Amino acid sequence: MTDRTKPFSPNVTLIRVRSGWEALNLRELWNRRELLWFLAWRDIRVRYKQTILGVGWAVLQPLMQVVVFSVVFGGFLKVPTDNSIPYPIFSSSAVIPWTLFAAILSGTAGSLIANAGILTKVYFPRLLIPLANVAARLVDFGVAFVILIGLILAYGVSITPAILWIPVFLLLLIVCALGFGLWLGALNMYIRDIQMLVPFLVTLWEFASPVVYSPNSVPAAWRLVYALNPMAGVLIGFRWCLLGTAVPGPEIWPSVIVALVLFVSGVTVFQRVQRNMVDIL
Amino acid sequence: MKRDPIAISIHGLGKRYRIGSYVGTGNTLRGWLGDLFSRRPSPQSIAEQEPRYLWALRDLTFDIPVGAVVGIVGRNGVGKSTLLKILSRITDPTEGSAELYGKTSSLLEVGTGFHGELTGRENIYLSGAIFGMTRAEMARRFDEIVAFSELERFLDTPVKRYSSGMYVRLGFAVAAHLDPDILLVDEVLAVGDLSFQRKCLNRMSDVAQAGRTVLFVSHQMTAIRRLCNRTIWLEAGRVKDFGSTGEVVARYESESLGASEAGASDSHQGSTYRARYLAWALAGAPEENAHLISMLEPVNFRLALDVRESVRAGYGGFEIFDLEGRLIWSGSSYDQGRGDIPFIPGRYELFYRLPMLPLKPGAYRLHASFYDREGDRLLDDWWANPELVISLPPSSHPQDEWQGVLNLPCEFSIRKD
Repeated sequence: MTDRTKPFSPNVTLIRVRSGWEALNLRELWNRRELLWFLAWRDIRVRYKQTILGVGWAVLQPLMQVVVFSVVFGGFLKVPTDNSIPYPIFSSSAVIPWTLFAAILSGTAGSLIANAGILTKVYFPRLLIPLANVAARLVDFGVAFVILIGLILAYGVSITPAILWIPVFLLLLIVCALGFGLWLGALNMYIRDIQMLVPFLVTLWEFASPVVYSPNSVPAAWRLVYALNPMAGVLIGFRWCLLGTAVPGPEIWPSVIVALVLFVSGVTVFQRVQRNMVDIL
Repeated sequence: MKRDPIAISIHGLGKRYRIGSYVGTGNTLRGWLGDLFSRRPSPQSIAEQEPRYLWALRDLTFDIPVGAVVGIVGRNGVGKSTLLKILSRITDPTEGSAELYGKTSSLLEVGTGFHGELTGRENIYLSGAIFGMTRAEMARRFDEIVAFSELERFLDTPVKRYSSGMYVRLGFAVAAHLDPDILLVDEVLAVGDLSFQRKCLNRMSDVAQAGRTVLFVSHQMTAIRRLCNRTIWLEAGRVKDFGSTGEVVARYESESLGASEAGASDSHQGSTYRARYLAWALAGAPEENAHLISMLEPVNFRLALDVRESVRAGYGGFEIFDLEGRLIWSGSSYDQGRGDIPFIPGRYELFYRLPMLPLKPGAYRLHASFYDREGDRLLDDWWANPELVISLPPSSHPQDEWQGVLNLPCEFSIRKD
């Protein structure tokens, strides 16, 4: 008699050797969505605990950057802006999304190592860790974004209906940051040099994106290469939504495609690596 | 033929680890990319690289019926924790498969997911969520968890200010209220003070009695004996024995003594010495039982001592410890009013005679020391090989068979005035 009496249970767990690539288990992710909020809430709580300014830092950090940029690039170097928009709001409309991008990117790249203590002791869909980081960073972004809107209005620039497109560019930003962050996080499992490289990479990338200058300053011959930088598309989009600069043209598509490729490949590689990552952690 | 329903079914499970790190093996990024893009390591590449791998588990096949409480014993590094990690899906097996029927929780550590900056209350919610409790479940059980932890007054204190005992209590309290069908526990009772350990053990036997299936890894044989009805003995990644706890644990204990006898784990090192213990045996016992006590009768330990240089004021100490390191009994050459003893070079036999040694069955470690009282010099400090095995027939009620220290027949009587 080979047939075994097995109790019926909706919770049958099958453990087997997995080989090759596999699809993301979206249902499992959805079932554990509560954990996503708890992890995001933990990230926020822990980050601002015992600080005096608390979530004020979410505003202060990009603000200080804007002040420096305004003095150096706007004041000393007289970097031209589109439509003669005042430099402080011209740069802050890019610095604030950029801050989110940098936070998601470096947070995702380091999140697995930072959570090694949990990952080696209990199972849950591993992707929740980087996703929780995204959620936590979005809270910071939300606070900074409200201040940004206030700043724009204070400078007498009127908000246009184009602002309704913000979620689209925000999504593009997240997809790009998360996708690339997952790549770095997966590589970082094996080669810890990556985490040393990330801050440098973020700074370099910031100057390769239209944060302190207008994309119109980029020589025409370089425009196509420039458009391959997905953050160029994202920031051009943000400026259009907020400040009414030129509508993003077809040069947005390379950005979108690169971001999507980064995201899909990043998630796939992460899925592959997470399987046995606790053996390396 | 009727069979019990199965809770855990394991077929040919194996896990291979890479020895050494990815970085610095001369094959880093390339090797990693190779792993990443090959669907499965080719047999050839395994053969080439085999020395760099270690099988932590191999060919594990067994079923565990619903409601069984199964202990897992074995020396360090035989794959006990790896097995639990695979079953709790923390890491994938390299070969084979397993099926778990029911909601599974793993308790591989006390306080999983705790963050020092968060308060006790916040950590209960966080840890619960990590273990898969829903918000509703947690709200329902929150008061119970707090009551179990006995930390009502410290709920709003950050956990980083907790003592280690408080931390463990909070962690176990969360884990104790998970209500899984299958519970995987790894050596978590080794922490905390004694009264809390007892509380945890009681909680675990409640869980066991409620018909849950429990897999319990521990080095504490008393805990295994108390909780588990069946025990798996792992050795070198394979199942060496699987049966009723009493038998398997007894075999495991006596064999682990044999292993230390054969191994080079003698605490003696070097070949130059003034005096040294060579061996011990039970005087008057036949050769095959020279280290085994199976009857309640006088016991005479004989220790062979080799003295190479004269010792003017010799003094010997002798102790019995249980495997958890508790001192059971100690004696010395001062007993019976004898003072320091002069030794000239030669072989001696030291006898420690006890009217009986009524201990619970199990293995015990013997320790002997030898001093020169002149200048208070420790000449030898010896953990005896092999260890002492006691297999007296149990004299108490089966329920208490493994509890306590002494195993003494007791005459009970009752009288009404």
